[in-house]
Amino acid sequence: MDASATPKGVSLEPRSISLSALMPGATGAVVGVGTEAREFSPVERRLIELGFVSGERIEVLAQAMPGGDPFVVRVGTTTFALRRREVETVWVEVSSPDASP
Amino acid sequence: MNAAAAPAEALSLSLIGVPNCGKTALFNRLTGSRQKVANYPGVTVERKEGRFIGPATGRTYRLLDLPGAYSLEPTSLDEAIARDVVLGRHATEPPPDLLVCVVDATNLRLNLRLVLDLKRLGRPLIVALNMSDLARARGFHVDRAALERALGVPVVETVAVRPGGERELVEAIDRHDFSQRVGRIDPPTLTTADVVATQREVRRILDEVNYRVPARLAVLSRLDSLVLHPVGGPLLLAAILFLMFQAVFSWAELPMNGIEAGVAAVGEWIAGTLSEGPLRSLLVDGIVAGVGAVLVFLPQIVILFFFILVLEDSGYLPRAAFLLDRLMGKVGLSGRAFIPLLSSFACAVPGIMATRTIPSTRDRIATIMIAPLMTCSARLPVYALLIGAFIPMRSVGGIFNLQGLVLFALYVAGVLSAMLVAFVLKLTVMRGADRPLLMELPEYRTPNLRNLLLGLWERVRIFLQRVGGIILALMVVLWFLSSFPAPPPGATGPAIEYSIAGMLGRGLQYIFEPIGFNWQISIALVPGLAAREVAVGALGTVYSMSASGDDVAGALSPLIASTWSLATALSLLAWYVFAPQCLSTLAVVKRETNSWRYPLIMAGYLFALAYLASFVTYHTAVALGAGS
Repeated sequence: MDASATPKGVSLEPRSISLSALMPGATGAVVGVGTEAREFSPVERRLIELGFVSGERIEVLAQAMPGGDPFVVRVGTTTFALRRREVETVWVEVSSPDASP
Repeated sequence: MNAAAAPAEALSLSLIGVPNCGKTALFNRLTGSRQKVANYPGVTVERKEGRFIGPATGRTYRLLDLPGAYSLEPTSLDEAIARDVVLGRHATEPPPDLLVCVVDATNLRLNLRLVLDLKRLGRPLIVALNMSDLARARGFHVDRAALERALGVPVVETVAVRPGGERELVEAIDRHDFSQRVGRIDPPTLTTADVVATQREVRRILDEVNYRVPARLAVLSRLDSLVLHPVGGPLLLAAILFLMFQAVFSWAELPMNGIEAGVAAVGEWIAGTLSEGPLRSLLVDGIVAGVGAVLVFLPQIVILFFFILVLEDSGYLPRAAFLLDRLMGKVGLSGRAFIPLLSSFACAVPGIMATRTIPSTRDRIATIMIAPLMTCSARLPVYALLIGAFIPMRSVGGIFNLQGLVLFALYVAGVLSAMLVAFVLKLTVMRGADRPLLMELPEYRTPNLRNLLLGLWERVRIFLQRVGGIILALMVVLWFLSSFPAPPPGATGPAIEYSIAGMLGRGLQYIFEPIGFNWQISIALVPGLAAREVAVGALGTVYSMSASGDDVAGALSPLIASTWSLATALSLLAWYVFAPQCLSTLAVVKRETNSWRYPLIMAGYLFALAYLASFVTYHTAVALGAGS
């Protein structure tokens, strides 16, 4: 997949969902970051710099209880603790949908 | 190129890299103990500089270990400083002659992006492919020569944790032609499309050099499934913290007793050598006692920082911060605040020094501001005296002891008020959008003994030099206040009553009368500024006790039990929950925040809270009939 794929319209792509909705055990690949309405926010830009680029493998490893937030996501070879609302605009294609809600 | 052509002054090198790339270990390897640690002017970011000599050229290199940065588009103060230095735009740092970018060979995806950003600047650059041995051992395929061809800059392998692991880097630096120097560089204006394009370039290079990553190590994965487990994780964290504090209090006891005995022996020796007079008093009661009061905390600080450094080096600390993020977030603190706050139960000084692990300045200041509300061990002698004298030894509900319950309540009162203050700070001065967490959880690593020792030495040095210097000076001032003017001939009361401290105490009495303190307590609070437990000794002096050390409390207890009202005792206990009068804490806050603003705010708010709490406690107790 092309890393420069425009994030425009990804939210309309039927198979891609927001990373913030995934539960531990879910795996997939990043489709894109951001929404078509506006430029990247500083957090979105940083997420791209940290490796949330289209085609990159992701896996949700754990989440804090109670509330499931923050949660631990492995992207490529790097593991991050993230708050769910920070990754609302990271769109992913889930490969093991049984682990998603 | 030869040594003679090299400029006479030291060449400036900057070490840059993303967090967790092993940059500081490499810095330690290159410079050994020849390091200077300070803060960048006006901010709380640590500045580390070291020197080394090129073996082939004899050139002297001045190496600056920049704060970790993911990108030249800063999202934190650390990153802004790293960017400014790299661009040659920092107010007090010269433009670097050569950049050394440290990359983690086991995580090239994340690290190469920064290399490409740096390469675009046009400043000379060498890439140090760090942890190259670990990468091979874990089954990564990393081709150094191919990477050097693809990047177009020198790439050398380094192993920061092994002696000699820096050799190739030193040789590459020595080979570098320093005749071309680049001054200030304008900040790059990267559009979001550029950001995406850089990532595509990273992927192209990784494909080109045939970088292959092994399947994730099963052992590490299993470790995380325990460490990050919703139930097992917090239990493990509690066990680690329990062990840590057990160690701080039990292992430190022997060396602390040794230091106390040593200081007492030195004092006695001086007292026996010199004749009675102001000089002897200054040396024994001022300087020796002052140095002793500082040194006695050293064992606790060494043990505490040993644990913190091990947790940090092994990669556990960010995982603990993850587990506690939600809990701490409720009052506007970062999950990373918990180690400094827990450390403050031993002493606020190392606790405040430990806030350096918090990357966000705002979170760090908020944590520093509430650290003194954690009940430090120096308050225990005061609590023990008052509880022993006033709270009856009685069983409550068959299993609890009333004295123990009161002590527990005092600890809880400290924690609750800390949370309240943090929450008020969040709603007022520390207001603003929540900082994103975006915290990398690095792979687990075995801590390196050499790095641990260097880190410990650094903390000990900061404590002794910077903090010790201020504390010692203040101790001497307090000695002066408590000793002059000398009592008139034929005076019957204790000497302190006639001194400036005594006069201050009598003046303070008017301020403290509404909260039930008598003039003896008011006087004792003045030397208690130096260290809280000194107040017990000072009370002994005021009541003309000749006993010293632990005996004071024993002799004092029945005396104050018969002369103070219960309301006064409770009021003093409430006062010590907040106890604003610790100069060591204020001194370390001044040092760590680089300004007088925060220590003054801290002293002010703690005094106000202490006064308010004591006022409410005293008048409630009097109303309930405990006033006489």
